[in-house]
Amino acid sequence: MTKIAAMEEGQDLAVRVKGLTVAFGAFHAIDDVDLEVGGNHLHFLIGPNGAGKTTLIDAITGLVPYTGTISVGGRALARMTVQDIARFGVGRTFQTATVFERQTVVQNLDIALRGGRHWASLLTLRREVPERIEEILEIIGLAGHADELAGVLSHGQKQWLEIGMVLAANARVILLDEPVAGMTLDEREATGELLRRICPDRVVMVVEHDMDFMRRFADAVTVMSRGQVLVEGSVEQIQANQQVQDTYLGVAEAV
Amino acid sequence: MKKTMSAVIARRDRRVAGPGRSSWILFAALAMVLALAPMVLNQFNIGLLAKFLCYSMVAIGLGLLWGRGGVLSLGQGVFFGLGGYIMAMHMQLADASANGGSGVPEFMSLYGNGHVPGWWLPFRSGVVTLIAIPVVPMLVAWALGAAVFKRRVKGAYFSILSQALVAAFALLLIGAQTSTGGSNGLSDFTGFFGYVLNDPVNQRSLYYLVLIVVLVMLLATGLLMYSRFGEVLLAVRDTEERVRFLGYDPASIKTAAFVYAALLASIGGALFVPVAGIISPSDIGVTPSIIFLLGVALGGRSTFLGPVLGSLIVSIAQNSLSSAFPSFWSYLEGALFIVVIALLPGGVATLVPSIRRWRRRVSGAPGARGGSRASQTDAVPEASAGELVSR
Repeated sequence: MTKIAAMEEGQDLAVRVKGLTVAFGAFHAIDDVDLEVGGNHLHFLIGPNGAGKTTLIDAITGLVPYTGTISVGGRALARMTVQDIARFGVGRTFQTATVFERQTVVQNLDIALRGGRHWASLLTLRREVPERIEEILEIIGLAGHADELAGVLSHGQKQWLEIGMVLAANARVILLDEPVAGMTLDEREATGELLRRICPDRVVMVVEHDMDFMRRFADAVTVMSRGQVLVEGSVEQIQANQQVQDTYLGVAEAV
Repeated sequence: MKKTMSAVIARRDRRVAGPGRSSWILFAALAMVLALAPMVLNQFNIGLLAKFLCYSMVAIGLGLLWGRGGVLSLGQGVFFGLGGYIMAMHMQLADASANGGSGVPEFMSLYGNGHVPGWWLPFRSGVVTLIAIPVVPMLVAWALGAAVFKRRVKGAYFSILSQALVAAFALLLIGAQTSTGGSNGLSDFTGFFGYVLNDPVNQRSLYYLVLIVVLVMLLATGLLMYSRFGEVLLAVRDTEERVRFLGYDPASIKTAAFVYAALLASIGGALFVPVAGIISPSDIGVTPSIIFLLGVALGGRSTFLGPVLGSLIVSIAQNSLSSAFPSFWSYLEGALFIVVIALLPGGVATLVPSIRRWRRRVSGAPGARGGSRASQTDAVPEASAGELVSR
């Protein structure tokens, strides 16, 4: 098993995508996309259905084959397996929160904490809750639910737990796929605050449909449409852009 | 970082994972009953019980592999057989050389050319044999696991593959009559590492050896189940992709569990030989491999003590019923399998919580509507399987 060294503190984290094309047969889900996402701010990736947003996350995390290059912190990710990319420090969440439902919140986080560590660390019993997990429980606001089964958590709490697992796995690049879908207003607010908290010294990219949420929390936005990048910029720039209004924002607002 | 005293205490008080007190009491009771059994059983029955305990070793490994890892192996007979045949080869050679013998096992002169095949020779050495019993099956399981799980073969496909493997292994043994004894297998052993096998005192010692091995296996497996490895294994069973995205290779995790189960099965097979006095293809083929599973399913595959208890129950039932009603047993066996899988997927260990839920449902407790009912039957039995026996 090749050992993948995780990214270091303070290292350049930027995700650089060049000439990325993901083809499913003749259909190009992503067509020659260039993109750079830097650290320390909340980067939103928006666009109508079928724009290729989730496919982009899939490509970065090694789930789908592609042409072009994707690098994180200067290291090319092509040819790395899904688990090696994760060990390197790229974490993701899913549209439907994917947690280990039959295990407790602490167990979920502890499994994440040990991903990519030496196998011998698996042959131990958990005598107490590791300090790092206590910290994460505070960050994600689930300290009061530490010993509950993940399966009984609410939809929003599961999303937070999944974000916590990505933090526990020591991800420096965090890709979130529609984290606030199906959340109440309060939960969205809490999620936004949470993302703000985890931003420093990390790259956080959020794929999102919710325009209000985007306006409220985005530091930078990339708009995708039909597999291509339409425009990039701040929230104001995006909102002012006629093309974006035509293809997307106007529609969303009308709805 | 400063922490208040109460926070530290709360941290320590948080229940750590592990079998609960009730299962330790059950474990102690089981150990006691099995330790005292020779006082009341006659020599024949002591031998039978030792044989059943050897089978239960396979079940203990399967409990981890299937119950926690979700890997349903229908081919544990391969590993039981590898351990058994390695031990049997050594015992045959040792018997043949004892008391100035020719050094050639009798069946080889009977069916073959009277020469010991080259690949038998290493097993003249007791040390090589004792090393080979754990190492060979673990290597086989590792190679197989690495090849199969890395290619993401899983579920029923893996089960079918493992069954085909055990069928092929049995055929191979039957076909090679001059070197493996064919369908007769290897039998008529007189000594076991210098001890005379039909001496009642030695028989009893052998029983205790088997019992100690079973108890050690139970403890080791219990610890593994509740170790971080056990948690990851459960996570792989439930949500393999999430585990991968956390930096684990699920194939390695499953392979490790498979190798462990192979080790236990092999030791079971190796001890089975001096206990039963025979190993033949019919002890390791497709049917025995399924019966290993029956005990595990019956007892509760994801629990600490379910597999060993289920396995012992099935062995005892099979022994008493198949002698009383020879044709009846196979039907009962099939029916038992169906009943357990269809009605009690968590095994007997979940019987009490299942009945409780059923009574609640019948009494029409509020909230037991269609939707929640579906999710109950789907998800809860597994979880409560853990609760009853293992907590």
